[in-house]
Amino acid sequence: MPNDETSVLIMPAQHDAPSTSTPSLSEPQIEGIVEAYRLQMTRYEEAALLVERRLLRELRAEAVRCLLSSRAKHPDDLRDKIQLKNRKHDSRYGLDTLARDVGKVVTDLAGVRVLVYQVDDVAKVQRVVRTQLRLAPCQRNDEVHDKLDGYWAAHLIVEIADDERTSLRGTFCEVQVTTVAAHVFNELEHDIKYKTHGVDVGDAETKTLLDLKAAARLLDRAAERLLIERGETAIRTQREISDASQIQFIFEQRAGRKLSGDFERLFRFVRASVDKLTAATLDSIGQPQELLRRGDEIATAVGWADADDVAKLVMGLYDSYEVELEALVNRPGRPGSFKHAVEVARDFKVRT
Amino acid sequence: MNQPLLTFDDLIRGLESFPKYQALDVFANSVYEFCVGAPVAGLAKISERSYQVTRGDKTFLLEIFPERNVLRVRHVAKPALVVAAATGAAIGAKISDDSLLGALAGGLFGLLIGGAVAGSAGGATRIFTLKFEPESRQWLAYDGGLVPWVKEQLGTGLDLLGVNPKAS
Repeated sequence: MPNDETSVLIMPAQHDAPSTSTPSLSEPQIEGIVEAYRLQMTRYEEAALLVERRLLRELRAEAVRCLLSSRAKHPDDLRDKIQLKNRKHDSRYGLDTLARDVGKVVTDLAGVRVLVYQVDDVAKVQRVVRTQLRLAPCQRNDEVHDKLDGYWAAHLIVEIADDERTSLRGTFCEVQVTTVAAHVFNELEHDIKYKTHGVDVGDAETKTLLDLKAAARLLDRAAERLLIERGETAIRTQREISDASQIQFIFEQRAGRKLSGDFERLFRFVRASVDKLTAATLDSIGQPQELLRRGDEIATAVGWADADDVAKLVMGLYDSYEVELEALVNRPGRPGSFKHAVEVARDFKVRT
Repeated sequence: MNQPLLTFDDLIRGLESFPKYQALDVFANSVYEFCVGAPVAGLAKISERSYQVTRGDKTFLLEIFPERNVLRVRHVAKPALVVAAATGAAIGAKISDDSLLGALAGGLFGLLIGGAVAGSAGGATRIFTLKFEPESRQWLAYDGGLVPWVKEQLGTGLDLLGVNPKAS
């Protein structure tokens, strides 16, 4: 499973140490908290939707195939969670802190789920979340859960930033990232282990869950192989490239590594510049290694330390496609690293 | 007053704005003078489908592909032998009234055509899609969802490499 260096790998919970000094919440108190949440559920629904839409836009630009969904936590699920933490005497779940702002304690009241097709894309989504959204100022805002016999997903907690809707300012939203295959397991495992309805989980069910987890991992690998084979077929048969993920695949094959950046924008530019876009014509436009090298040279010269790979490709293309790139970025539109790359390449050319 | 269609001068300006390209294809029924039969200064007939226009010391060749509703304008080095003077109406008469798709569906598009993409074994051609903005009378780069359609309508079936191919 991918293990991004900047994430925290969580093993079975160690933080829920019982605290005999924390008074338990009574059922009426819990109900009061849940009722107060119910009255502001709309806020969390809107926050989740806002984050979902933002991620959809960013992930599409990065040519990450994924399924997104969002929700506000159901009041019943909030009640269950508070009751569970209450039984464990979790010191964070005090009446004062919950009453003051339940969303700062229960950080998944607004939630977005990102299901990716390929295991490697989990790390890509994590990177997008970290760079395009604001991580919330709370503990455990960026971690990977990977339990040997259970749940696997990356969790990031983001905060709605000041420059977005003021009514949602400061709201936390949890972004859960996992593969489609792992999600099947996660959902079944959660339902069986946490919604027992008074029936204990038997040994046979536990064993079958283990088998299911192994099957999910195999499915992840098979899905990855399938997408690679599809990409290689596209290259071999010289089929016309029809979407950004194919162009990304071809560039990554040529470069020998994963690449980052707005491949959607790059795809649109290249498609508008060649009559028939295939793997062969893509190679003719420029060898990715050489373009990246040239782009890296320019980025280093101007001190652009965090230029993504698409930005470097654009800078590498500038000498051959100056007029076309300038024409594209001179239209009204939102700024981005593609436009910035053209501006940097232009300035570099003027200076040298 | 802004014309809702392209004028012939807009066409020339579009081609001149991208000197690396040899030709600009547009939908024939998007050109004002040809739709209304207006005069075009210096227009002369070379053959049934070819016309010539001079602008200062530059000469441009117009080619009509009526079956595809496509008009191509391109640079030529030397003026050709003309048959007779011509009018916009003469060209307009060749344009099909059925071809509404070109001018009306989504905007006024153009396809710049350059030479062969260097090193391209498959004969790929360097092109660039444009969209004309009537309000500002500017040609803008276009990379939106209609690019495949524009390439298919304006480029497919035409002899792209017949446009003095040179490595780009």
